[in-house]
Amino acid sequence: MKHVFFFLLSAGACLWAQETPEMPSPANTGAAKTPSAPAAAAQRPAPSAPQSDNSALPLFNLPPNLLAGKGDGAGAGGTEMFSSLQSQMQLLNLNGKMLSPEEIAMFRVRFEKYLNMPAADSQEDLTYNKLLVDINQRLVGKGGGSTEQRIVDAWRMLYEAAQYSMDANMCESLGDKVISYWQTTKKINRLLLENEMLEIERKRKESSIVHVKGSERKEFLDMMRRSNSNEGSLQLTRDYEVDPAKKRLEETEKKLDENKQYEVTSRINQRMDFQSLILQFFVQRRFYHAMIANDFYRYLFEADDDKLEGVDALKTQVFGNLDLKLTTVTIDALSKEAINEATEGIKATEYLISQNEIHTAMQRLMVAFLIGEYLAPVKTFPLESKRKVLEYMRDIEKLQNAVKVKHVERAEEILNKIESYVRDFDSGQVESFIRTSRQLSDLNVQKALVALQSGNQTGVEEALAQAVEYWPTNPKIQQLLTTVLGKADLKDMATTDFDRLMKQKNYRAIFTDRFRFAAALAMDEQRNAEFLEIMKRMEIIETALSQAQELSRLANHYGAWELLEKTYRQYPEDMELNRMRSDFAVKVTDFGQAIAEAEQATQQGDRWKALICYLRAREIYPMSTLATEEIPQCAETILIKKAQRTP
Amino acid sequence: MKNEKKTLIIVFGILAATAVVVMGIFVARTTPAGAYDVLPVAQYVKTPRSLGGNTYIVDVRIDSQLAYKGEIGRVIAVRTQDEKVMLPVLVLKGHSAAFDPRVGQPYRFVVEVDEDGELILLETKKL
Repeated sequence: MKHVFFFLLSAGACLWAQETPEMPSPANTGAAKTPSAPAAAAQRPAPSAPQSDNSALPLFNLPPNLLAGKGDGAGAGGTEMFSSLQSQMQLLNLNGKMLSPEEIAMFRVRFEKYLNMPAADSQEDLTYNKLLVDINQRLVGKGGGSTEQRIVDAWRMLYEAAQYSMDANMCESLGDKVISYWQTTKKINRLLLENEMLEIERKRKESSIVHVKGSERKEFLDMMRRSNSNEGSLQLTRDYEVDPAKKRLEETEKKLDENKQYEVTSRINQRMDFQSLILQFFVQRRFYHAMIANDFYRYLFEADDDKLEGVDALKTQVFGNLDLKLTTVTIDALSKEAINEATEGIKATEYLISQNEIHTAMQRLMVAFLIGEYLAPVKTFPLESKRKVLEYMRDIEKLQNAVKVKHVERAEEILNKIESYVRDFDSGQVESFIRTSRQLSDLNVQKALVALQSGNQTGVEEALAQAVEYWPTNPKIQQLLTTVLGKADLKDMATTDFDRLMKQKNYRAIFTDRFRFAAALAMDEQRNAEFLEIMKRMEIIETALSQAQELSRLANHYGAWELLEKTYRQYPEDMELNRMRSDFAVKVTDFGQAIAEAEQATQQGDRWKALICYLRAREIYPMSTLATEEIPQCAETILIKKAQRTP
Repeated sequence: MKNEKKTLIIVFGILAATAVVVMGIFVARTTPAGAYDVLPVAQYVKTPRSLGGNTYIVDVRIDSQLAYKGEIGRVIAVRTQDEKVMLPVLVLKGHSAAFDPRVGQPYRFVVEVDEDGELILLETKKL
């Protein structure tokens, strides 16, 4: 009986599935119609005992591969840890059936709705609950009186109970069934009376026919005697008198048969209707209604232990292929067991909550709710206690979501919160998961760093992918990414800047930011060559600038200017060089002018004047390398040209 | 008698004066300084070609030799005595045979400014 009782749980689940149109049926039917499932369930221990089958019916069902690191169970023990969470949440896996996620979600909705509803302990609720108990007790004899009197009293009380909204007119349905029984009985009685009349009429018709037939026979015998002396005389019959009587007799017999048939079928139909109603109440977990209907049935149909007939389909759906003789007594016992189980479950829940053992309390309350959603102990359970269970459920859901996305910090935070108010939560594997995830992720970040330093791009990507796999929110990953991305950004930016400055021939800007460009363009063969060339150029310019400053410090402005001028002629695009050259030019105007005139004359082909200017420049600054270099060249050129012109 | 003496004195005086004038003219014709203008150095340095075709004298001190080609001559640098300006002077081959300058020697050059503004040495006189 104990095993049978636990089918109630699956019955409840199946009922939810049936009540939910959009709920996919395969999971449900697959569970309910699988022959082996109920049989296996029948051999299972008591439902309150923890189940070790982690794969079965997760209350918060999540795909295991979401937890596995790479789908091969390498997710820092995520699969195992999550299975543990599932086993802790296991509740509905009491008969081996696997409920679909939709069914579980449906249960969660109803259960959470229950947890959020105030306790149904209003005067109206209490009165209704008492009324059901009173009806049940009145039927079993409380208050005394004859059976008929008790049935009538209970029947009247049914309509009184139907006035309450929480009854959902179930008592009225039962009362109507009783009325229907009475009406049918009355009709049957009337038919029985009619049958008696018909029987009398039939006998009378039969006598009439017998009489006519007797007279006819006598006449026939007389005629036969007379015919011995007078052959060939006509034979006379009285069928014309018998035929109407025969017809009446046939009609009477037919009517009698009809009435008897009606009586039999009506009784059978009434029984089956009542049995169906009993089973319906039972399946709906309206156990008091089932017991009341059961009592009515036994009184009305005078059956102590009637086997419930014609409910095979429903029985199979609810109880599977269990070899169970479903009788009114069975239903009565199961209903009482369910009421007792729900009541005890609620008491256990209250005690567990008082001890802060919320996890177990939640499981007990779920069982009690699943069994006796409409029973008074469940409905009157205090809201404050229910809210504690709800808070725990939500925290567990958050924890599972955090584990699902491997948000380790979040999981740790929620775990700490749960542990602060739940004494019986098994946090060992969750803690292990958190610790292992962190270690493995950190290890892979280290691998990525090593790969990064060695320039192994593939290694960096693989190690980072692993690190993310174990702990996506690892701050070290973010730091590493920032570094890598920062480098990538800098490189891109430096490349862009380099190209732009090259186009502008702003080598000074490249030189100023040479360290950034050196780092960014080290791997860029073409740009790096250009960069090195610019560095050489700038090295010359910078050396000239430094030397010019030093010469200027020694008051050798001519030397400084000339040095800058010579460098300027080589690299005229450098703004700093040009600026300093201009600054010194002010101080060496005469020398600068002589050089300028010399160059201008050279450009015009007037070597003689160029020579004069260079000589003048050397007069101004005897150490002038420009003049010293140019003067002999000019003189020699002049001689050569002179020779060409001389015939 | 007195008139004859006076006449004779006058005649001799005229002859003497004439002789002095003739001698002066002769001397002037045979001496460079006397035959050419002095080179306007500042103008020449500024626009050498503007003085093309002219011949000048200029007192200089030898500074250095800037270039030499045997078949053509040489270019020397001289510093003018008055304005201390360094000038190049082209000494062509034909003239060089009798010209053997040393650094620091003072000379009076008779120079011609050719169409390119070049100073061509014509005559030299040690000072």
